[in-house]
Amino acid sequence: MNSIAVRCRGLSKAYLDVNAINDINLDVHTGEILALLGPSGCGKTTTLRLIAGFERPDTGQIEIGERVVAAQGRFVPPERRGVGMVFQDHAIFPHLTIFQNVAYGLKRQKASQARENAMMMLKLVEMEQFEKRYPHELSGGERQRVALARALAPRPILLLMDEPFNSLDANLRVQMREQVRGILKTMQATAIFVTHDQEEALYIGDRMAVFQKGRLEQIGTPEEVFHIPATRFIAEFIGNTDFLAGEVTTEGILTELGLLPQTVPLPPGTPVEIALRPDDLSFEPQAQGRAMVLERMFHGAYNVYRLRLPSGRLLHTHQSHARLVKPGTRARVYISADHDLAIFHEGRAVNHEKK
Amino acid sequence: MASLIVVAVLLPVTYLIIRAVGAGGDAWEGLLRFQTFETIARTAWLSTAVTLASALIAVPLAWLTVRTDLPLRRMWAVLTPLPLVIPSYVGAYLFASAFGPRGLLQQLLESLFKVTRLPEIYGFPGAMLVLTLLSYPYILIGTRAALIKIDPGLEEASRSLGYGAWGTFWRVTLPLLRPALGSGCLLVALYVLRDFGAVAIMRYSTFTRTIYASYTSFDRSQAALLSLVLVAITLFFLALETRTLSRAQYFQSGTGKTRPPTLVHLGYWRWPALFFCGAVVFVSLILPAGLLTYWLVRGLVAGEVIPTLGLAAWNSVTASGLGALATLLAALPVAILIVRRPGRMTRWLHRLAYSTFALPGIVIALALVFFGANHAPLLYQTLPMLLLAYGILFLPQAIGAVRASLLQIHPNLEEAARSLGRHPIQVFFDITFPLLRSGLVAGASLVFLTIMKELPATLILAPIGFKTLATGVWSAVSEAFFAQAAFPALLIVLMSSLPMTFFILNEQSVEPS
Repeated sequence: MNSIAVRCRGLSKAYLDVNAINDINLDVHTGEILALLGPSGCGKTTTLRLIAGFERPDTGQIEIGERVVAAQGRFVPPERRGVGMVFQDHAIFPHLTIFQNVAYGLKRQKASQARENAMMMLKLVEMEQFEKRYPHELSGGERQRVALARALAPRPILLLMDEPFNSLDANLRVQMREQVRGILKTMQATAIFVTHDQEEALYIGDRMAVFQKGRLEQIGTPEEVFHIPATRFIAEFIGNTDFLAGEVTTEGILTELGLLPQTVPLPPGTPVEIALRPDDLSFEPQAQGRAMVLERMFHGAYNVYRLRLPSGRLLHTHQSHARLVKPGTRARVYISADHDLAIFHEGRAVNHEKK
Repeated sequence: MASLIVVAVLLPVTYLIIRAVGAGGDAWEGLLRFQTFETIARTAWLSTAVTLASALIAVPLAWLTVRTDLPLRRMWAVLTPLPLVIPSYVGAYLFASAFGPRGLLQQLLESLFKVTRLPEIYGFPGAMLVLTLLSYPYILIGTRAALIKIDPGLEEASRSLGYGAWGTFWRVTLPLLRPALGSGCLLVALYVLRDFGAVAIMRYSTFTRTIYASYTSFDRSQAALLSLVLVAITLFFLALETRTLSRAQYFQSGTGKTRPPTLVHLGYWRWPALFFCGAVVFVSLILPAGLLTYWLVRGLVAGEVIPTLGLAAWNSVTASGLGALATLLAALPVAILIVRRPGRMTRWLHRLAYSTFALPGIVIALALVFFGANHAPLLYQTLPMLLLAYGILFLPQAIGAVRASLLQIHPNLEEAARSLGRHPIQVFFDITFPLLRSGLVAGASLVFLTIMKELPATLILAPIGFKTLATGVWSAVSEAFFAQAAFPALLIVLMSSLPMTFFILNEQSVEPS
């Protein structure tokens, strides 16, 4: 296991409105990218700003590189933390050229060396030909790259990114996140990345931490969080999940789709909920089927079908782009997953295995 | 038509130039006297000193009221720009009455401690004190607005890149404030250059006072030449500001501000900060208000209200009303042309129309005196002549107001009316004018109130015996009848407070709470 680059213990910060956080414990390993994911107002940006030093925690302790930077009676200001930050709106200084922006954090270096380093960073983000331009002459994606180069130029021990792709349009976002991940990995940077976009978090994070209402709900690799969500909230937030009610029996879980042969450590008769992702179920048209196809939504590469069960519950399933079934068709719905499904009792996973 | 208006506006000034150039050798020799250079030096020195002092007051005030947890922050934010409503001659009159020789302070000290001499207020100290206290709001307002608009992320970025609070202020905040600070300083410098009332009452011979002195001693060629030098200096200041705006644009980065900045915690520094705000408000606002009340009460007790006060007020309202109307009517075609027919020609028109902004009231008044005395004796010293002067003086202000409301009317609206079969003139009366009306009313009121405060042009051009509130204050003060000046001064201050109240309410509603 790598060494710990950031350690947060019992972090709390209260505000009058949203954004408060409560008892956050978090470790980031050296060289890893950690994605903080959650709906807006969940406290992920507050956590980031606490680590950066723009806010003081009410309680708790933050260590960066084994140095305590915030604790009771101790507060290291942002400029002495050695932490780089990429802001949501990039915050490129409008009165400085691109080169001056990138060289801004290199004040301790000799001019010639600062120039060399700044140009190297600009080269890394492929912006060296823009060095003499001013920020307003650049496009959104170009500013994004400048912001990254500026934050990385002083070789921070930790890079923080606050929804950096928010202001970019959809196509550019995908392109930028691939580039940024590539650059971070090339530099072997330790980074914390805040986003409310699950796809972005799954892609960019080596691990991800999911926040809700100021609490850290789960931290783990994207695969762990996706496959074994710790709470119903996470299952709902990630992966367009539907839920199916069931009841624990000795043979498995009884649902309206039949018996799911999966055992849980709960007494028979306990009500549970099963998370169903659109690729976990399928259907066959059947004249006497008890479910009905309500709608087909064509996404190009695949079709999403909306199905109504006899109880009125709606489920969604991905099917091949070539499979066309008319809305109104009666169907039999069945679970097609070749893996265990996540099962929740009172909002918490009951088969959540610690790995 | 618009071109004709602009030409009409520039005619007197052109005439002034011709007169000055054609002046006899005596006048040119007179211009090259040592005294002229002394006047230049005094004017420049006063402008620089007032501008610097204003910036030193305004920038900390702006920062304290926008970025810190200063107690009663909102109250200070409302109070500190208020001195703007006091015309310079009223401010100068009040300070002179209090701190001058045999003034209130000295009388008080004499009765208490037998002090018979105070440091001289007349001359540079008085002029600088009064002008600084009345003009620092020009810098404060712009700087505050700019500070509110700065994306807090920029300062945080600087912090995360290794600069402390102080380094960040010098390297990021101040450069971002530079355009606002620059134009604020320019406004103050121009205010000082143009000011007549304060320097005249404080007896500090800058250009305006020297020009007035030459004029009253019938040395008119000399006055014309001095006016031209003053115009040249004003233009130089304007050019200076244009040059300081570099290629760097001061656009907001990204999608704009998303959250208010974290307020700086002042801690024990809040006591000196409070003292600073309190001192500025006391000297620039509470003290003048108190003095005005004192003279008012004393005047009322002694029965010393100007007997012609009612007439003066009526004259002020008439002249200002007619002046505002005429100015706005002249501004309308020019503004329409500028907004709806942009091009090289109209850009020049725009610049020419605005160039009168650089002309001090006393210069325009003199130009009209020459013009009238030589070529339009019938108009000389009549109300229309005074109105013409107002029109020239306040045309830029009126154009600005009309232009701003025109810009809010989408040209598609007019085009839609055209496509529905209306003639352009009908379109103007059916569509443009009704939509423009509230903007025009606001513009007219602003011009009205500005005219009411105007002193030098009114003083020189008003028909004989035509007393207004402003000239009433002036004549009472020049004869040291301080109590007599109180009532008209109060009326003027109240009048000019109206747009200020509106402005403050407006600013409060856009500022994040």
